[in-house]
Amino acid sequence: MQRKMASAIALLWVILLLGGCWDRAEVEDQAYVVMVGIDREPPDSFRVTALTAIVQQLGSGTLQAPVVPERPRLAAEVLTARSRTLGEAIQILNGGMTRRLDLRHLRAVMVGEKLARDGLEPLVMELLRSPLARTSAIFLQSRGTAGAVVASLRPVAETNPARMAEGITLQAKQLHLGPPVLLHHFLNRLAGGGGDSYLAAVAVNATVADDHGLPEPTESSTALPGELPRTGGNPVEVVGTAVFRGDRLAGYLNVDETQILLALRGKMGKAAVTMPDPLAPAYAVTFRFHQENFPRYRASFQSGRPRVAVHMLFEGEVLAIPSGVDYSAPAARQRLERAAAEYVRQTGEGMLAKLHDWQADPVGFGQLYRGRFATWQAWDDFNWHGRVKDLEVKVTAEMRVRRYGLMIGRPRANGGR
Amino acid sequence: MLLAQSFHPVMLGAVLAGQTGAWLAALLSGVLASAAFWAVTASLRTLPGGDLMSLARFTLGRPGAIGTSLLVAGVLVYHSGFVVRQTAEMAVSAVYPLTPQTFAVVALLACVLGGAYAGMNALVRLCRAFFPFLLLAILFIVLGVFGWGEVRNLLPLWGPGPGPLLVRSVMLLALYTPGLFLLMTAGQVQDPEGLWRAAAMAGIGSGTVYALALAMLIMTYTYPLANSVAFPLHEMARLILGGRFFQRVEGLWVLIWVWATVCHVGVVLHVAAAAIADAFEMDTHRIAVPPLTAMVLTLAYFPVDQAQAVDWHTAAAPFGLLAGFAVPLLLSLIAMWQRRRKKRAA
Amino acid sequence: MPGARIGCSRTGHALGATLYTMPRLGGQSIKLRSSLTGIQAQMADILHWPENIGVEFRPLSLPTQPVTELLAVFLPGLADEALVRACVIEPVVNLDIGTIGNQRVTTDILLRRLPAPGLSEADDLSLAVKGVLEGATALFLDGARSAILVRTVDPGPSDRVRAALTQQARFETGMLENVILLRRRLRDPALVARRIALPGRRASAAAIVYMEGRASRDLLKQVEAFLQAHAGEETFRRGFAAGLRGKWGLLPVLTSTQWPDKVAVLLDAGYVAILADGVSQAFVAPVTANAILYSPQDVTLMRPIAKSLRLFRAALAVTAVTAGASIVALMNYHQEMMPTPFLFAMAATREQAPFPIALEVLLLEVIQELIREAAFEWPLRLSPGHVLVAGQLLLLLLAQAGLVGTGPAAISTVIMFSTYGFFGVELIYLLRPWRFLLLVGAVVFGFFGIAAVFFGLALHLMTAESFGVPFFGESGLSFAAADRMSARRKGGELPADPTEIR
Repeated sequence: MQRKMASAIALLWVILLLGGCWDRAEVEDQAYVVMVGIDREPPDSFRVTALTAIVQQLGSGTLQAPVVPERPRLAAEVLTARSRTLGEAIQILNGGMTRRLDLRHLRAVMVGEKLARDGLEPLVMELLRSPLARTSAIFLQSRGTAGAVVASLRPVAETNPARMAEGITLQAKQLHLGPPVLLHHFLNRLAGGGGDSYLAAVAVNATVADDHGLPEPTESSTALPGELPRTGGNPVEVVGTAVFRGDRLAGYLNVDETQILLALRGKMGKAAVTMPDPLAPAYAVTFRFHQENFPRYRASFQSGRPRVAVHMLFEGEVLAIPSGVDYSAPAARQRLERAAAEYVRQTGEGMLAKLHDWQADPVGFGQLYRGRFATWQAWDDFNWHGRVKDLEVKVTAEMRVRRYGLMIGRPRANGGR
Repeated sequence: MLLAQSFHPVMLGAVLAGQTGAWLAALLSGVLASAAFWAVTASLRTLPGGDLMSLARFTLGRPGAIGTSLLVAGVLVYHSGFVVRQTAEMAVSAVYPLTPQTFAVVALLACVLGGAYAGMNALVRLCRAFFPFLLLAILFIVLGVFGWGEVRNLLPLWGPGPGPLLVRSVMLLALYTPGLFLLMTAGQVQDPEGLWRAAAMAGIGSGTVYALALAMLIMTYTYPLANSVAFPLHEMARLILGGRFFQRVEGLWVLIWVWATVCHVGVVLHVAAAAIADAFEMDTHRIAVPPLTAMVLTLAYFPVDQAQAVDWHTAAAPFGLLAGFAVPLLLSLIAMWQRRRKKRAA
Repeated sequence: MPGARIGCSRTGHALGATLYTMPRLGGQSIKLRSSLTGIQAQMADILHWPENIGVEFRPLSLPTQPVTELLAVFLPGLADEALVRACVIEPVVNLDIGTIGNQRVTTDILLRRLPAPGLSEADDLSLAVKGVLEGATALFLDGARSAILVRTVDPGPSDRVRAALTQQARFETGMLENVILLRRRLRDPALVARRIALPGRRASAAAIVYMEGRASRDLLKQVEAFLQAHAGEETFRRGFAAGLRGKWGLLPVLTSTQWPDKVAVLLDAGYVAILADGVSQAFVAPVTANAILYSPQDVTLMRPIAKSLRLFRAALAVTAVTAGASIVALMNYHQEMMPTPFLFAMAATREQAPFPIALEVLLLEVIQELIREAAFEWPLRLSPGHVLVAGQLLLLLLAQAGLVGTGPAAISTVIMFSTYGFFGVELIYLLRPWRFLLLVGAVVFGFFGIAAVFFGLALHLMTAESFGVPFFGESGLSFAAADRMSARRKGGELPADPTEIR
């Protein structure tokens, strides 16, 4: 009996072994899509642009070191298809390939402006349903078309498309020029209620792309995506924030407003901020802001309208004082601190005014009211989204300057001013 | 591993009904389960035979024992069919999209057949060796996704309200039916005294882990989106990011899950076969294992799609609850009445 | 050395200075009998003489009127035989009878007449046995209810020094030497080393070693019956390869080891060891997971570290078995698990690869098996280490030629060396066929296949038995035997019975 059972099991295994390997795929038979740009193609299609890695340019296959060309270029190819769904797009693109397109290493998804304004919920739910896409991919919103942005990518000192995509997240986390938002975060905010979503904004800088000499001076702090005053390098820049109301794009925030948005959410960490010098208005001062504590919120109702008071505390490290003012002196330091706090307050209020116009709540003030309800039905009936237009927010800030870089006081040279 | 195999579909049912308070229902169900384990095993130990089959034989004779064994086997086989189907669905939907589901189901059942055939000693050793890895894997997932959601997504705390939550926690006791049947065949175990203590701890432990997993699911996906996530733990595993090197590790989760499935279903099928063998006075339980496995294979294919499989399992929960708790209670009452009658007659 | 004259003043270690402690004999005082026959019976009972190898009962007599009978009991190896001859036998045999006259020879007389310093008298059986186990020679006199303990401790090599400063001792090629090595570690009268006559071996050339009262009689009978049925030169050359358990079994029958420390602990836990002349290993039965994973270091290390190391070894064993299969599963089914830059680099190196990764890994596994076979079976006088290194150079050449990928080749080499570093040869032979089964599972169904095959193998291990003892016992990865040995080394009370064999 035991022998028969063992034989039966062994036979079963032989049958299984003879019939396996359906999902087996060799790496050399795959082409890996690293980034996808999705645009609205009227009336109801998408234009999908896929950035596909060319791995042959990333290694030599032998024990010798690879030969690096003189001007390294991104080892990737841009493929575009028009389709009704993302899945169909991959199928269409595969028609022109001798390798199978694989989205398992998709690192970034970018959506165009028109599609964002029409509403992203269907697309986002498709991405959530598909086993191919991954909600841990970085989610970006491009001014103009996503296809143009993907096609314009020319990263500096980078040939590996995977590292390029990782670099976008890393830059966002470290520099806070744009928020590091992943697809999952967007979903969370979209589905959770109590606030709205936002994405890092991407755009092609036309000046860089066309190389037209020096652009009109625009302050970097108030620059929207695609408007940074620079030349050379990658035409694509990831700066600013695209704010959504529900699943539709409402508008863009510039660099400073982005940093204040992150600060209001307690996610600013450390960011470089440049503001007018309070004692020498012709100059500017550059800080490194440290947001060490979570903002303090006080949420209430007044005459049935939601009211939120937010107080933020920063520590500052002064990185540049071109005016030469000695801000380490107590009186000057206090002046500087007050000016920084006022700058934060004004920028915050300006941003909040924009949000009020858009009736969007990317900060998530609604979440402050969630705990007041005992049941889900009561919270759902409260309908936070409908009350955003009545929301009033008062922002206050406090700054403590701690450090002045590597020099204290007012450094002088012989024969100086 | 009591809850290991029911995590997927029951998590969905729990979220749907429990809303943002589903994790509270899970926690309470664990405590209730431990109390129920204690009550059932305490009463069984005081009654003739000390286990369910002996009790059935004592109260209702051989026909009663056969009926009880068929009921036990029926519940467990239905449960096994569903679990196998759900694991195969997860593997195929999430990781092996081109593989026919039959391949996964048959592979699982081949392992289950071997496990149930090998006997309780081998299965216990296997489970004991494997359990820490399963627990670590679940905890790793729930802790690994901690940064992906907001704690505020768990509010409002009571979800549908305290009353419906309490009802939900009672319904969730159906999860513990396989464990209860395992306890009720305690006569075959070397250390019956230790078993009910371990089972009570398992109830609380399982409930806690389940509550933790549900809380993380709601935090990460928010209600009501969490309702639509077909394979919650797998989806959460997909989110885990540990720098550049450690990411997209759900393949390891598939490995753990397959092991959990075959251990769980192996034990469950063994209990079912042992009950049948006891009732029909067979020499060994092994004779009953192949036909029961064939039934599991058939039942795994009854639902036409995954959604129907989840619906059927949710709908069958009250019956499992009834079989697991009401039947032994009824038999105990009959046995007590019979004993009292005998004493009076004496 | 034979023929060397050794002065009796050289007595080496003092009594009580041994590395290991002795258990009490029932915890109560047992008086020696008055007659020599009675004493011999008492000592023979406790020391399991005459079947116990390495226990000497040397009858002596003095040509007095009437003849005075004496009995010297010592354990060769623990007691220096040259010292025994110089300090006990020769002085007794050469005792000047004339000076005694018509007196009856008593213990006092001997105490005065024997030249050895540090003589002591023991009137208790347990003290006498303790002395013998420490390396003394017990001299019994007919009619005297006491024993004279003569310090004849073998002065070197010191176990304490060796254990403290060098790697653990290994078994020698002589059977008696190996018994002595075990006795040094288990200074316990329950240790029995009994000659067994096996087919194909000369009658005195093999012994079965066990702890009386700890190893079950049933186990002993089964082991002896197995040896009678299957033992031949092959058994003692390869041990574990001779006769797999049952038709479908994958477990070896016996496990072998070259560490006396390990065997001593296993004996204390109820295992049975087999020693043979000309073989510098001991073969242990039954085969359990504990027996395989146990390391001599477990006695000396702190418990949390020892537990962590044992878990680490087990994890490495699993990794060694599944590494090749995991590479195939990763590269063919779960490519998302690899970091993207790493995947791209691997994909770049595989552009010119002639074989699919599964075939490449299979080729590497086969090559590693060939190297392993060559290392241990090569007829030339090359050490296994040289052959292993030469084999890895061969792999490097194959990678250079592009026949195999450098990545898989490197991983294969690391796994190969790690298995040798931690487990020893017996585990390698245990694990060898499983790697190919898992590889097949991975090729067919990725991690699902690995899980399914691994489950089947684990189930087989859980149901496997060696001489009626489950491979994975209830005690799990127990340290009770190691704790007991640690207590023996430190001295003092021994902890409770750590028998793992049930």
